Amino acid sequence: MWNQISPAARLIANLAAMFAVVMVNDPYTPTMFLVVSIALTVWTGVLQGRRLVRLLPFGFFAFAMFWMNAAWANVNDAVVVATLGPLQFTDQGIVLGLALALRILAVGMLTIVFLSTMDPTEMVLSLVQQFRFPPRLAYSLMAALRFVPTLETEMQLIRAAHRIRGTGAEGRLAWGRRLYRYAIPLLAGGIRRAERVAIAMEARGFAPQHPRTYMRKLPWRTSDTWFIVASLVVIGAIFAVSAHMNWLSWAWFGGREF
Amino acid sequence: MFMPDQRWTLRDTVVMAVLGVVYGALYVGFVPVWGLLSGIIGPFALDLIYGVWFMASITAAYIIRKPGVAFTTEVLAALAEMPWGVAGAGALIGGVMQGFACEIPFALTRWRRYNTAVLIASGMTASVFTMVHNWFLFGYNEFPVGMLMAMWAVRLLSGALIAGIGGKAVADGLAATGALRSFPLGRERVRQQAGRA
Repeated sequence: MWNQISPAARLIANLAAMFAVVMVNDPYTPTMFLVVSIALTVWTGVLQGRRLVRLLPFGFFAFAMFWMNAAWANVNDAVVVATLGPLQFTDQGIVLGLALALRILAVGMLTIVFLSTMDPTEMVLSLVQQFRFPPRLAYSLMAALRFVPTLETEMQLIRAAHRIRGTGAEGRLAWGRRLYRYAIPLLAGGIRRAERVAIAMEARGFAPQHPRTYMRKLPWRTSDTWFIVASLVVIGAIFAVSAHMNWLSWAWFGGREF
Repeated sequence: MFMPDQRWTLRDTVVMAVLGVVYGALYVGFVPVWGLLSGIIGPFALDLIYGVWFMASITAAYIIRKPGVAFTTEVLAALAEMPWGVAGAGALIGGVMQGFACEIPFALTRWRRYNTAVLIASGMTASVFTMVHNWFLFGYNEFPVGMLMAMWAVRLLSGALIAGIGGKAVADGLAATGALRSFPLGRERVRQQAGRA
């Protein structure tokens, strides 16, 4: 299913869903977003362990937001329901913490759903053809993205070179210095290659002022429009259910009711 | 005063893209670091390491020294992050805001000054702007003001040290390899060495 939808449409849908989920601070609405996006990953076959691992950082951050809000959120007339050492968890804080944690998980999951099968080249082409992203930047980015596999090979070379010379960082911030020692030759190689690529592109007549034609066209299709419409309908339906069940609480217009 | 050509060449944009892609990989690599640290010290983890995510702007602007470089490199880094699948529209908005913020101090010097103070100011401006972004995205409005101020202070420090000093250190390291000879930073180094000799 995802191959038929242009990256531009996916980005727009991702953006719309993200804005929607940020508008509320009750725990129920983001839960529905989370459930729908999980269902969508299962349905479209995007669900794989490797992809779900990407949700882990969001999970940790969500957990942190949960307990810190549970203990310290700005709430009125809160009742302390549990204590853990110096932390006093309030009833309203817990609900709020849960809501924000679920919001963060939903934002993470929506990203995985909409963008995890996106092809980098298609993304760049779509940005140029649909969003009028400057071609000069787009083709520069595409050239640079082509370096990624070579960067991995070069990383192994650098590692081998470091090992032969017996260089290793020890002591405080050793990992930082190691990172720096890898990054510099990696970037230096990348910049040298970038200069050659730029000359090669100009030699082949790449000039931004000429009218552009495209070998691969990614036109905006009706299916893209329908995809966005469908996404908006689902978002609307989630809000309608939430409002109908009296769960909905707006985050930014003083609508919190606990 | 001699004013070099401020238009981007294709070489500038490809180098910006390479910096964007490499920093994009670093940015993606720091997402799990943020996650793990959050598990230990809570939302402060993000503020502590947030400077990492502004580095592309500062390194690129310091090397290329033209208007719009800081902004564009950060946007390119955000775009390069997307195919990895951890960064979506949220990261793109974040990248646009970070890049815009990083560009402000350079713009205020009319893109003439690229000393350490301006680079640090650039990182700190990004710290200010990202707080607004996170306020909405993560719901920081529910935290007590004192705690938010503490988070902000940590983030400002991170923007100054990691992004400002760190981003500059990467560019200086690159200049030392001789790879930047055709860029303003590399030419500056050559002039300095000639002056010393």
